[in-house]
Amino acid sequence: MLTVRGLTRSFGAVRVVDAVDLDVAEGSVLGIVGPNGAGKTTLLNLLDGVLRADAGRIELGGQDVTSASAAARCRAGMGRTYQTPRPFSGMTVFENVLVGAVHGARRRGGDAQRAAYESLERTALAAQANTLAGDLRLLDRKRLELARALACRPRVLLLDEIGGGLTDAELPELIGVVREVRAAGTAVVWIEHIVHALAEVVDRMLCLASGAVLAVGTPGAVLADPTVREVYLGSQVEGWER
Amino acid sequence: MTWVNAVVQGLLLGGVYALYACGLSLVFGVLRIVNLAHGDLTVLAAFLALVVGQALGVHPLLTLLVVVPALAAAGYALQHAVLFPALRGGELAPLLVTFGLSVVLQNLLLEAFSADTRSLPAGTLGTAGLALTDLLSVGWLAVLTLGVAVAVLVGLQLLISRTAIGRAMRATSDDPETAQLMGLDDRKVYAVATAIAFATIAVAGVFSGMRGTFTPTLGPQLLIFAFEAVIIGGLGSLWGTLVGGLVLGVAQTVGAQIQPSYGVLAGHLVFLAVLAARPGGILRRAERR
Repeated sequence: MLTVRGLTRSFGAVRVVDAVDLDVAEGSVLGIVGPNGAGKTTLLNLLDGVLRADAGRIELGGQDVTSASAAARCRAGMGRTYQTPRPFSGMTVFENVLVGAVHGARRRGGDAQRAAYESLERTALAAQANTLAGDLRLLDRKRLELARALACRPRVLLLDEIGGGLTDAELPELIGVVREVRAAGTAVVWIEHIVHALAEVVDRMLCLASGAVLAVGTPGAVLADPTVREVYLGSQVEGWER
Repeated sequence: MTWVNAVVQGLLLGGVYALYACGLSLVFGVLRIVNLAHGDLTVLAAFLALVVGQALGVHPLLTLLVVVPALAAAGYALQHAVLFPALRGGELAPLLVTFGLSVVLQNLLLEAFSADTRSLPAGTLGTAGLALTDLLSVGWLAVLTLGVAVAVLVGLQLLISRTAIGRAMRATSDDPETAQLMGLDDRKVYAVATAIAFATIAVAGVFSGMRGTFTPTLGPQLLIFAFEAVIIGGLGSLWGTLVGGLVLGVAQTVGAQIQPSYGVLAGHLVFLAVLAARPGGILRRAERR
């Protein structure tokens, strides 16, 4: 569903994303881990079109979107959530999601309203539909990020630390939603520092370090890789196994 | 009775100011651009109505069918080709662009129409009035203008709060980058918003041209009145713009009742008083960032 070859981007003299290749199949989840500053968020920004690549190629469902705008990529099926939620704070929760259903998924009228409501139900936000998005607490803001992205009817969903800042009690619910999204055939790319949460869900894992792919494979293989342990996991190595 | 008359005439005058201010309020609210050419565009619309009316021999109200689409198209093109690229140059760049546009428009109008004072021939609509009492009568045109101002502002408010394009404008205005990730093309959304604002400028130009006189250099004065109406009511609030226009109109006519030359001055003083007492405007919108 998502095929990336040789994706590269520099800021000044620093190569933040360096010749990254990745493939995510329909209905599968690719987890991305790596130390802070490894270029994970920049990689997502290149994929969704917020940033342009210096070199490389991005294909979404066989369609070359490398030079497409962020809006065009969204309409082609690229969904994205931010690490720090960025709701349209002056609009209600329902209106936030409706923007995605109308402009991202190109739905009209009642069809758009139904799709928007359905995304709220999938993320357990339906009860807050008429709340101003700016008044939501963190967990609900995270849910809204997800609901908005889902309303755009993504074929590829990019998640940037959707679990960050949540408690262990709140996490399983979001993981459940990601599982459902995958079951519906969407390809998911998920950046997360909570490695044990990631390892539960992902089919494949990729470790990014200094902008380049350090290791890629099954979660077990990647987390057992000695270089990955040295560069990223360090003291966290016990944490993921609990 | 003269005081009641002053207030009634002030409310009617306020309709004109509210109409002037619609486009300015919308452009500021959605695009965060202060359009310094706003007054000159209003004058341009009046001149366009004059030319079209003379060429086709029709009443100024009918020229709206030409002037409104013409200005909307001009607004779309201006935003798409000039203002949007300028927005990337920071907040000052669009201000300079609209200031330049203001100078260019004034001089082009002077070149084309000379400095003569004009007005749009409203015919019997302009002279007929309704006598409310023996001492108090209101002009039909003035009542119609106020009605149109209310209709335009209510229409804009509904457009922004209830429709898909309105949500697109609010989303893009709130966070353009995130809006793009939801499939919204910010350049197009801004262009549509500007087109709608310019359509209201066209309406304001035609009605003010019928109610009073205009010259190619009247624009900056209209801009000031529009500004005052927007600020008195509260930036970013369309209801506030209506209230601001009415307050400004009443202040001017009541001031003129005290002493004929005090009218405009009284308007400015009320504006300053509101700025000092409620810097956010009379109707401050709580949910704005």
